[in-house]
Amino acid sequence: MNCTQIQQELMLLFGTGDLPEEIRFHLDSCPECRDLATQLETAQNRLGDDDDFYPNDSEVERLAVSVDAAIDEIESRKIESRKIEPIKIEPVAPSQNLLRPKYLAIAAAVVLALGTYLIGQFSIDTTPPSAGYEDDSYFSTVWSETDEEQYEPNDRAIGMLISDYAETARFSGADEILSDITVEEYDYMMENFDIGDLL
Amino acid sequence: MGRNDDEKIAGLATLAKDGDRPAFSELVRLLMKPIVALTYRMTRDHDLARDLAQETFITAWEKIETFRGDARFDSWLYRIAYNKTLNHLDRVRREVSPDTIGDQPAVDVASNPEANLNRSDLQADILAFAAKLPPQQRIVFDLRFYKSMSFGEIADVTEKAEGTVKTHYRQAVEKLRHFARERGWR
Repeated sequence: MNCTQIQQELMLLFGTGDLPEEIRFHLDSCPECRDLATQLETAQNRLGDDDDFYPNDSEVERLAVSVDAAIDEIESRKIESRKIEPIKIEPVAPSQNLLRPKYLAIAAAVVLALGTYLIGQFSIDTTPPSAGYEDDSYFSTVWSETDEEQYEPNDRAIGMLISDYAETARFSGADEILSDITVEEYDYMMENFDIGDLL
Repeated sequence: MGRNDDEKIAGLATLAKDGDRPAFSELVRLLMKPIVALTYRMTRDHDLARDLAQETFITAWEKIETFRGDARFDSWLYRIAYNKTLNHLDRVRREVSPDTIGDQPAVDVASNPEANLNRSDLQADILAFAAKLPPQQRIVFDLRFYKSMSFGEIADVTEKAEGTVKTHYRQAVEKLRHFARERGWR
């Protein structure tokens, strides 16, 4: 090693104790490097040791007690926070939300069907036709004042129609309500009755 | 610290890592002195050094699960103390004019009666020298000279490259040499 390298090494070895043999050998023959080594040794002796800065035992105890107290407080806060767990409000999954429009529509349909059914049960007389009718079909043949043959619905026809509507609406779709009447019956109804008034 | 102390500290640190409070309390009592010595030389402020040392142990307890069992517990503590001290010095530097930082006298040594009682000429010289060093050089010098740590360990504590640490140390020693000459150390 040359002088520069030796001096760099002396700096890095400062404070670590014995010097390697190669450096000691160099110092014996190099006044400049020896001078640096002497300066560093003087400074090292002057810097003292770590324990020159130690607090005394009673102060250490005082500081340690404070640390213990602070940690106690931290731990008690942890325990408290575990005791008072905030109530977690789980968000309702979209599929469980009962107020969704789809369910509202179904609920409204059920109420409507039920209401219709009750009207059918209590407001409409569905008893069989009286003996005055010629047959038990839904339509009776009557003769008008001009002697023309005409069809006229009897009470039973109307009652069965309403009842049929209510039953079908309860269990099926509205498109099935009038599925069991004939074309002629349907045409007659459309011509002579207002379904809204009937309901 | 001797080999027996090192083994004792390692054993206590293992227990503390598992949440053993008494073991940690013993570690506090065993390691308070070297931590205070470090923070004091770094800050040159008696009360602040003790506050930082206490905060170091409190943080250590809070973060104990992050301590790697294979590392030295005291090195891990030095890192916490170093970071806390450096953060504090950075805050102070932002608040005080940069021109005055390096020349600040060891205010507490002169003004704190307790520190005054314990103060020696030796301490005053060292604190005055420490004031000449930027914090990065100061911690490297301290850990190397007073804690006898290897450059690799210091690099670990300061999270710097080992080459950077060596450079800091050489620069600090060079400044010490000039300081000694100025002061007429013999």
